[in-house]
Amino acid sequence: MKFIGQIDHPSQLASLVTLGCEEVLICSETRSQEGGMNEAELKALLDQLKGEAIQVTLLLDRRIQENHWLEVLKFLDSPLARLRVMDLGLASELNERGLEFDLDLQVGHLNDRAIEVWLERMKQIRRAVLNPQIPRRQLLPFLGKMSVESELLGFGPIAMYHTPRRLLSWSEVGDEVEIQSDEMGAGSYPMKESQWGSTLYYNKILSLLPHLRELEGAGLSALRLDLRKIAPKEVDLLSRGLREGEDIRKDYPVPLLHGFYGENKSDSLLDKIGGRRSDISRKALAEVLDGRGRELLVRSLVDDWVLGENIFCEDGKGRSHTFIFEGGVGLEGELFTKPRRGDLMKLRASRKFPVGTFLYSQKGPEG
Amino acid sequence: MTIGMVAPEILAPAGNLDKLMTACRYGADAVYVGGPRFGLRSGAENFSDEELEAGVVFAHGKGAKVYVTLNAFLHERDLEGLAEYSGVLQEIGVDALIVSDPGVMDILAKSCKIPLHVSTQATCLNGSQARLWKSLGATRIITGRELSLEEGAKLGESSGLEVEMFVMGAMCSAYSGHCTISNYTAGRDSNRGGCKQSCRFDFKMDGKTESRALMSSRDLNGLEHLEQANNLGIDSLKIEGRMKSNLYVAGATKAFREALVAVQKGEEVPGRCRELLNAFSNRGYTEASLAEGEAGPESIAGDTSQSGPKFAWAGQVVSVTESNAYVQLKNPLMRGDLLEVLSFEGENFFLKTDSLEDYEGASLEKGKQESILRFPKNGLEVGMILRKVGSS
Repeated sequence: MKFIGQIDHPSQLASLVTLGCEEVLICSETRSQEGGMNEAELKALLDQLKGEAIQVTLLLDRRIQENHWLEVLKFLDSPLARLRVMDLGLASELNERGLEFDLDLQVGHLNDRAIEVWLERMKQIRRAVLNPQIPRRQLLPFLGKMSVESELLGFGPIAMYHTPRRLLSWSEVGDEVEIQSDEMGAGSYPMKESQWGSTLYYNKILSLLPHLRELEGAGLSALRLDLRKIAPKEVDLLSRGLREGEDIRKDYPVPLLHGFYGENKSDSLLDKIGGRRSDISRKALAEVLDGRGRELLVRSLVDDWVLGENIFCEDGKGRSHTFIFEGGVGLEGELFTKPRRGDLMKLRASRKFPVGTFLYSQKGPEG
Repeated sequence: MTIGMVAPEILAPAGNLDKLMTACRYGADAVYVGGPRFGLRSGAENFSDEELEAGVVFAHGKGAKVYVTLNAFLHERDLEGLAEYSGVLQEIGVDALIVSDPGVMDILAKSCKIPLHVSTQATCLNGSQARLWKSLGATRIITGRELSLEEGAKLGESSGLEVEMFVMGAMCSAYSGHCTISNYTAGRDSNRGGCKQSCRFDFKMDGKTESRALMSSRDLNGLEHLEQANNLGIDSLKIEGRMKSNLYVAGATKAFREALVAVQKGEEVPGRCRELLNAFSNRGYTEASLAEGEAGPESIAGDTSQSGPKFAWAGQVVSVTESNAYVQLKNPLMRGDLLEVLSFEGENFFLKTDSLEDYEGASLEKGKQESILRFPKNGLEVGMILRKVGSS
């Protein structure tokens, strides 16, 4: 497993060397969503790195709107170094041109199939940058199956939000601030603006340092260290954490967390929003609009009522009840034996049901 | 994308069966709904399979289509049952599925024959990306809200796919589907139905006492750009708001339907269309990126307050007979209140409540919320929405 240093200024190259990174990921102001070094600095740095053993990748992670497409193609026409892209359109373009590239899949792409779909379609992908929210139990077996190199953010800030809107300029507060909200607890969250928009970061640093051996054993190809905000003394600390396995949490000036690695906090969410699957053969016949004792005022939702059929429904506590459809009485006394969709009628029921209850034919709500 | 005389589709939100029916009655060409699984709006009521089946039958009877959202980004274990569920949806007869996850798209393309639409959550902003989704089986792109109408049209031309664009409603200020604030700060997955709407909060900057809704986007209103959308051949114009009321669904759908009819005839957009939209609670309206492709400072609300609704939702006609109409109240009603009836087409009309009767004819001073009242028929039709505009 190799280390990759992510930098946005040439001065950070020293940190990269100290940490033994074999690869550099360069953020630049024209290509990178969060901004970075200018073209002159970039060219000087690339000259400096010529002949060195360090592999160079340029981060081109802007999302490209249709009107900016031609302007951005110039970065593909003369790429200077290998590119890392997030926009799938750019990825497709690079693939068609036969240019090897890295694909940033840190947004979405939480299941194996979602990643494999792009790997199958774009053979020029050299490396997939994986979403740090993939839980450990899913990630580890997947790493061993990947057909291309894999990469994870191993140490660095977590960008939670990015908008193309220039929120800080519009608020006239400079291009970097800490923001706080009573509704988000006591912490402050860094926000930064580039010419491509505004980014909000979490107030803790992601650190997978305690899990390096496990990740390497599972087949992770590369671990990225984001060096853009790290002071020299923190680089030494990070170096000890990487090389000697030292626990640096207590000494690091910003709280560290392992994020979703090991435990996905929201894993149970689908269970919460699921749970209403049922058999298609259960059909809603009517909705209760009013109940007076055992006489329900209902609205028919279908045209095919059958006299004598069983009607099922749930009460407010989820208990099932049944009664037989013996015809209904319209609001003006007319008899309904074959109600039509939309008809209102009064039904004799087994008990009172809350407004909004659905009445079903055939099976009960439990199917 | 089809450029020419074909009018764009008006696509309305339907958080439940009632809203679906309302949208269809007020002129929606299509509605989008959530099933109980795989969608983003866990707070919406969503449809059971039975409700969805009833909704599809009703919509098809009105000539409208039904699209089902399966647009969450799913973890591996959440994919279980997806292929089987698509079979259920196919059997029900839904007209399209809205998807953002390529893994989900791949499974659906292989397991059913329902057309697949790429959700705005996928942030598709260029033709090259659209063509990539097309290779997976997509038939339509719901573009990112960052695109202008002109860019949307270009994307459609270069990909050969249908293009759907939002023209109304609340919007993320972040690239939709890319925000994880709730994931990290609240342990809720914003892209699997758990968004806490943190971007709506008030924030202080650098410890200063003054706070503002720094990230909160104003609500989109593209009514004034309808003619351009029509001329550019955008295939579908989408109204956000599955969690909003029947009154909103009716008013927004009616406004865009009637405005589009006028535009197609080369006429001015009727003033009542603007009035309908301006009457809803909103964070201030913005055209966002629709015109220029870049939202400006005016697209941010700046504070968390919303303008309240100008009119309360009074109720909905649930049945009519030869001489009477029965209205289910959604807010309490006093004798003497003045009601405005949102007609399915054209000018609205008014209803005075000099007397109130329950559905069995007993006289009332006040109607309770959810109760059924009887009114003289007088032009009322099943499904019409009434709003309270004052007291006489």
